[in-house]
Amino acid sequence: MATFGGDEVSALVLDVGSCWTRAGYAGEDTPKAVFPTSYGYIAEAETAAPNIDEDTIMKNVDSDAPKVQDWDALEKIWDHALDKRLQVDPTEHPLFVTEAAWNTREIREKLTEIAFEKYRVLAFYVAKNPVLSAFATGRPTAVVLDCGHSTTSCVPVVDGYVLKKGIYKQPVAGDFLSEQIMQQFQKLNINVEPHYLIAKKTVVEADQPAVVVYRDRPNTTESYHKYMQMRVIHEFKESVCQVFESTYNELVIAARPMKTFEFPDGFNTSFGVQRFDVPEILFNPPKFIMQPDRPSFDTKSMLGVHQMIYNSVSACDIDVRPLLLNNIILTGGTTLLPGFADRVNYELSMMLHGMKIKLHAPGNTIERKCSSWLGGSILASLGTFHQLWISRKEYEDQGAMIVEKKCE
Amino acid sequence: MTSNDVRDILELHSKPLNSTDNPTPSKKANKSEKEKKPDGIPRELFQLIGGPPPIAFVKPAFKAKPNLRKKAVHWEWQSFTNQGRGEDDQLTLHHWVKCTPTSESEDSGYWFAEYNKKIDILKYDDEEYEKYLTDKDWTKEETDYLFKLCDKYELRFIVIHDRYEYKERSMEDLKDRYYSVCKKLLQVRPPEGSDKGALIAMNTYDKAKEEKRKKHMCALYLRSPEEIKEEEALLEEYERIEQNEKKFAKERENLLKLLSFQELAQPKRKKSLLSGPTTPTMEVGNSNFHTSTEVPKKNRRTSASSVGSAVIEAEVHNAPITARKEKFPQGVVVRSSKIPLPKQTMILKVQKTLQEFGLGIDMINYICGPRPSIPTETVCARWVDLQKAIQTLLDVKKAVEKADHELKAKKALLQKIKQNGLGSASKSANSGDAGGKQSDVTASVSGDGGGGDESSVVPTKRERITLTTTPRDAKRARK
Repeated sequence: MATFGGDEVSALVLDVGSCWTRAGYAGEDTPKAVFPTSYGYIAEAETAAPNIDEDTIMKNVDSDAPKVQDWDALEKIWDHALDKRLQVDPTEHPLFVTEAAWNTREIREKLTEIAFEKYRVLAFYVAKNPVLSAFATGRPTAVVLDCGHSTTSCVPVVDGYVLKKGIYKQPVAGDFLSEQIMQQFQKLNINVEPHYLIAKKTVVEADQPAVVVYRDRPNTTESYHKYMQMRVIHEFKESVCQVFESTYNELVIAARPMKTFEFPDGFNTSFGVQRFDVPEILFNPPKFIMQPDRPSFDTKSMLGVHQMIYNSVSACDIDVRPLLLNNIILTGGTTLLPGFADRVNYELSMMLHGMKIKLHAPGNTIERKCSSWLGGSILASLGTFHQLWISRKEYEDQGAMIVEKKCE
Repeated sequence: MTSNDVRDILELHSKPLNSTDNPTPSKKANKSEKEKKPDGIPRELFQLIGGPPPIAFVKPAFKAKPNLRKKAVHWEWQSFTNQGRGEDDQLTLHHWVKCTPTSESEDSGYWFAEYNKKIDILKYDDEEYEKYLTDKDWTKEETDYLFKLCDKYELRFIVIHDRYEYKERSMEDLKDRYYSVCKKLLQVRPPEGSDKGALIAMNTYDKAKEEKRKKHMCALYLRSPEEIKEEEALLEEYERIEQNEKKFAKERENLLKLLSFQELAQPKRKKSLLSGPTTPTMEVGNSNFHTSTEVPKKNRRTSASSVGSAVIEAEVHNAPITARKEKFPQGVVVRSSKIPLPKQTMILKVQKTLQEFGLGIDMINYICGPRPSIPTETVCARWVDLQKAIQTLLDVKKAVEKADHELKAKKALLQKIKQNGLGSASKSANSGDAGGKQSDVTASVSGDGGGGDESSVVPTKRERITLTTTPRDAKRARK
């Protein structure tokens, strides 16, 4: 046991992402529980509903946002993870929490406070996502491109420390792509009816209108409908969309085979160039973004992911640049789009001539989706790590500000 | 009657008492088994390969059964404190520990605590700072801040620079300040160890040099594809030139070897073969080689006459025969046997030449070559020199022929170019170039004066041409 440097103290690792929350025991290779970072509540009571249902209002707890908006909701998520899923008593375990690289001091202190005051954990630690992703692939130095649900971020990590000056992030990620797909469907006059509305459907020929019997759901909230619609879009995105491997070329793409998608109501059609268009946003945002109805969204200022990596690396000292370029880590669910890694590699080699570029994208889907949880799991089960925990005593002596001192 | 006999009678071959008792039958059986040669394989081959190879070397075996009777290893959920943490910190964590009776000495401390290594950063007090470390650019507060960060991030200057929020500073500034402070402190403090000098050297930092290096690195990082292509092309070109140079140097060396019979007389000069030819013949052939001060004037004159006579003359004048140091082997030897043989291919030719001179006719020996009739030390030495000179002469002749041939070919080519290429501009330029070459050739052939610019180490095209014409020149001179 000691030969591997591991020493498990049954720590809990909690990674609250913008779309999914992962929770589990340190030292394991997959999280015990993965559930959406969304919850429903009943309007009148404003309390969390026991089950997500049509009459609940869907709410997403975006932990990547610069300010965690809804601390109550975050606590609910923690509650759910620890009580319902892992079913543990947090006072018996050290708790390891992940955070975004750009988290402010206030948020970190608040997290510490919740952990010690509300959950009365044995010990606590908070680490940054990109560092953990780098650790999950076994590298102390890397530039981590995390293209997840709400945010795409590119963060250089040197010796396990985030270089703050090299952090680039923008809200163009999986969620944004889904919205754009939605807009694309509206243009194509495709109506996305979620599964819960379909009572009965019949098989129809391609491109023929759906023959469907709907359920009557009068009390459905709008947010629930949207949530369920997004599920369909997610499915579409995961099964149909693709990133073109080299520079976008409509003629070449048109020659690629079409892919058919059947919507929940039975309507099915084939997508050719369209299935490449939306993912192209990740690489050429100003050209491919259809202006979204988000307020204060500046399409012009958005960068392609390769540009983000380039900027991020260029913001670092010249001495580490070759090392960083040799360790580019792709993580986050959106990087699982087919062709994504090839394209990043292609674009980077076009931008950085004569530099050796090496991408590391774990082939395992779970590893790609949960890399920061995995890194946390590895870190929290190391024998040498246990001296870094913030203990209750330290917290009581110095208050929540200790998190800034101990968790770098 | 032994038990073996009984076994024989009962035909119980299969169960010998022990292996030594009955080794031959089993061996025989093995052999007969082995000797069953499959069809299609020649007997010799079969003997070599020794039968079909075994399919697998490992005997197939099932997974060992778990030993259920053995008592399970006892693991215990134990609490521990980590000495790597602060002294007063009482964080008690639990982990599973294998309970073996031998590992009772658990109290030696947490196993991983020893990895808690911290780097030592030099500290200074106010007095020291005031006395030695003041800097017009840095306040004490900022220096303190820097040292705090250095301590926190353990001298990872990339991280320190990233987290440095006191003032806008470049990483070189930070490093410079840190190392200069360390150096100063080491210098003024009383010596502790013997390696103080090494420590000071370790803390020396050249800011200007580092900045320059980074600048160059950045330039390298920001190269455009055109620049990279150009660089690659240049590199390729350079390699090509270098190869050409090597090839040329080799050619020149061969040529010099051919022409340097004078070396015999001046053995000391042999090493300067590549740096500059020293022989008078070279002086004639390639006037740009400029060691004329070293070469006796007489030699230059003599080389204008026939080579053969020049050899002899030069030898007569220069060879300090008495200076030769001879190594005598043990025992009695015939002096003539010490005369080296000419090259195997040239024995006959050398003989023929010697005959022309009227030498060695009576001593023709097809095995060891011609020998002088009275092999005294002097005669033998002369003989050896003469033999070498003859070989050189033959080589030169051969080279001259080759060069002549090449010249003819080149001339033909030139003629062709002249005929074809007078029309277009590019071709005319080409022919002009060729004409230039030609004029160069003639100049070097006729002229024995100085060709100033050709003395460069890197061989140019012109030089190459002049060199290839040298044997011809020599021939002319001979004529």
